[in-house]
Amino acid sequence: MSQPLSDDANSSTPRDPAPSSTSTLKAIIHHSRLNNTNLNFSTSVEGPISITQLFIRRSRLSTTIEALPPSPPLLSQHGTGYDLTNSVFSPDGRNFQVEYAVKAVENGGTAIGIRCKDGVVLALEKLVTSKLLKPNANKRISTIDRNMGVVSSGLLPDARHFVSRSREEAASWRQMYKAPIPVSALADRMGQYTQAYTLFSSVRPFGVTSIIAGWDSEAEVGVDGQVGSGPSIGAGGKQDIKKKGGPYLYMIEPSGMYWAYYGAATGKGRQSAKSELEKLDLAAGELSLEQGIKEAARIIYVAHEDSKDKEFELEMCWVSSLAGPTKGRFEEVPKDLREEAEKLAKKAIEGDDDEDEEKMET
Amino acid sequence: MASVFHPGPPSGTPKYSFAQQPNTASEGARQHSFYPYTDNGGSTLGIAGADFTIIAGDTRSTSGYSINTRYCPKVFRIGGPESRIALSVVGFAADGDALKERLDTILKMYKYQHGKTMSVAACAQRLSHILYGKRFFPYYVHAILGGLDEEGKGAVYSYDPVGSYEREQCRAGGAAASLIMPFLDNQVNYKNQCIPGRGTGHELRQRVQEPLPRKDVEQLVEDAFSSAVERHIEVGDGLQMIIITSKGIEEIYKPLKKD
Amino acid sequence: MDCHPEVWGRPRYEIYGDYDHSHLHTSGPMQHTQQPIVTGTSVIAVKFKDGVVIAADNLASYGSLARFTDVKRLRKFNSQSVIGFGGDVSDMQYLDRTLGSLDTNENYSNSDQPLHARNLHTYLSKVMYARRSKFDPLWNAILVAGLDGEDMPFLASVDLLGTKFSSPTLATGFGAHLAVPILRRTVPDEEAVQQTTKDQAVELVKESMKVLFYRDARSLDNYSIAVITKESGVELKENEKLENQSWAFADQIRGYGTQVN
Repeated sequence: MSQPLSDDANSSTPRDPAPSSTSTLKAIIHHSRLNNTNLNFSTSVEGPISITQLFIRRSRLSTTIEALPPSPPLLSQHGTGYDLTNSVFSPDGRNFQVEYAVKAVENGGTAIGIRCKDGVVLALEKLVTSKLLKPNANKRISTIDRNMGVVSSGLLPDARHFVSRSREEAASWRQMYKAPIPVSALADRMGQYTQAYTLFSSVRPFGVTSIIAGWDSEAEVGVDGQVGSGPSIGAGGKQDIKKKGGPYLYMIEPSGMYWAYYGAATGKGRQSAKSELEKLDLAAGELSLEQGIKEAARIIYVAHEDSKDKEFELEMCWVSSLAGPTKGRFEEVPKDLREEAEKLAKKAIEGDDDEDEEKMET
Repeated sequence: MASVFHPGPPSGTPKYSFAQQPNTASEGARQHSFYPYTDNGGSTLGIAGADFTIIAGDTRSTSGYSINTRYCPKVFRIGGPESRIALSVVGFAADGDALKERLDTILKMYKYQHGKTMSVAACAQRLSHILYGKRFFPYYVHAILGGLDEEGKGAVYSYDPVGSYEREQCRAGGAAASLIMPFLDNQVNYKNQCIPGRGTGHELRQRVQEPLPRKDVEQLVEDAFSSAVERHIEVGDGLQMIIITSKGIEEIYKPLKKD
Repeated sequence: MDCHPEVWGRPRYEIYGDYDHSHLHTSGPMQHTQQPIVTGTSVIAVKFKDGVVIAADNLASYGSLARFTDVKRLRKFNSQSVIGFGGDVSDMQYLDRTLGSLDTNENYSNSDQPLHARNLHTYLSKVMYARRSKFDPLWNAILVAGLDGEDMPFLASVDLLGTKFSSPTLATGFGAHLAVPILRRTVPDEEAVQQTTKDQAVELVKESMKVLFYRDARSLDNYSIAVITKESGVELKENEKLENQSWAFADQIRGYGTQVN
């Protein structure tokens, strides 16, 4: 594997914008003076803030501001003009449009991926937005090639475009090389594609973070359409070449940044999901796929704890080796296995609650 | 200027190394050796009655002297369950299937768009246009279309491969058409039948044509086919009949000789 | 001695005549496949009460040359369908890839109803007919064996013209002449299909493969055989050897070869 494995998805992303930067402040003041409008900001400006947040802040500050001497003017409310178009850096080196895209992801249902020793599992907390939606319809985890799939959280239409582009990439790879695209290559191509959407003013970044799971065949498979095996010995005969292959898991963010992971999480409940994933010690490569399913279901249930009032459906897909339960194909986890994992997950959560209650009582 | 030699692609006939003929330059571009048609044999028949229509066909499919299968229908109900139209196609089976599917789709689309089934006269003209549209690469089939007209009378339309068509009382198509058609002329249209006892020469009176009852027509069809089977190698195995009446569509299968 | 280096070692005009320039013509009509090049011979198949048996030998010929002897002409599509290809091998490979991408596309939505043999046959027949209508045929004769939507045995054929038909017993190429009569002797109709067991069907197909090897000069004694049933899915064996051959009949042949009377 060429990419370093990192447990922290966002170690180098601008996910949590740094608070108060003097250069930002200077920029704001500078622009404000050019335009004779009222300046509304607290002394600790917290990076980019949403419009609603802004209104709240404004009302909160209004009393104090009125007491202050006349404020310097402001060009725009915040982001100071550097967030109005894509592909433009702010003076302190941030691309606000990308950061806002990350915000869109943070509101999506939690999606996780676990790389087990004999396969990969993807799980999704699919929030039920209406009682009128048909249960178990509208699947959100998509198959890309036969051995690979994607789950994303964030803006759904963006996710669908991401999926359709991934399928095109996988198909074009097959057309060219007569073999399935390796997971790493798909992640690379989609990473580049996503990144391109941060470069032009005519587009906006993807509002999704996608987790790609796949299994590169460990066995030697012929190219598509191969009919024979060729000479077994002598000229043109085969050598025993050690094949790579195995389970792979990648996550691509709106910036286009992607890493390979042992465990990946994104969406609303990513923080608690990540801390749960860390407990699993996935780097040791001990967790089996069967266990992985149960853990994935449990983690989704744990991550859902914070938005308990909303109903959700658990969606799970997996991929194993040729010898494993999915025979190298990316498939939905069978209903009985999923239901069992769900039952265990509910039990685990209730168990935790009981313990908490007991503690409270004592 | 024979500076480069190219052996050319292998030709269709067997070549032997010991008697290799010198390659001579051919005139202009080589021709296609692919011929996109074949004849799958079989025979069809359509007869219109006063208030019914029978479309029939044998079920044998052949390639040369080989029988591909003993059951390959060439008479089809088209236009969905409410439609009262049958189409038979004989000749090149792949074209026949393609033609059937096209007309079937058109009939269904008509139903969706207009909320009623297409009349057999309209369908007949549409079929003619489809065939004519492929005038320069024709559907190599003899099509016979059957249904009930707007007065409820039996209607049979027959076509040549490029869309020329005509409404008729009866028509035979396919391999045994030349065997069956004269029989039909005599038995359905009473050709060469005179009223007995009216004398000879100019006194002769053609027997007056009258609509045949359904039972008689069914028997006529069976006789036509069992006779054709005796005399034509490409006809046999099974007889499929589709009978359209105002009450609905019936389908009858009867075995024929398999030799 | 010819002073032009470019003709050294090349076929002589005196022997081979003028160079055939026809393939260099760019203004002529577009040329498509006019004949198969590397070919496979017969595919044979028979239905029995629980499924279908299909077989084809492992030879790909280049004209009369037995060129490749390990060519697998039975392709498993999924757990309920196998496709047997006769005719051009490169066209077979093209179709195999096309079916591969069809499978991938079908799997985009995790459908409860995967494509069954009947669907596959319809799809292939449309591909074949579309290509013949473009005067650019895929030079194959194909058998599709498997189970239909009701899990009943399904067997049908389609060829380079798009002609399709179904029968309890089918064979392409030489097999249509040699194997079909043998197969029909045991399985003449659908009624007989219900009386035939898997073992009987396999035995029948193996016997027919033997006859084909005896009499078809473009055949091989190495073959692939697949049995498709609901219970065990596709059982595909790709390296079978013809057993119990007897060439005793060869003595009786008169009229050609070394014996002239």
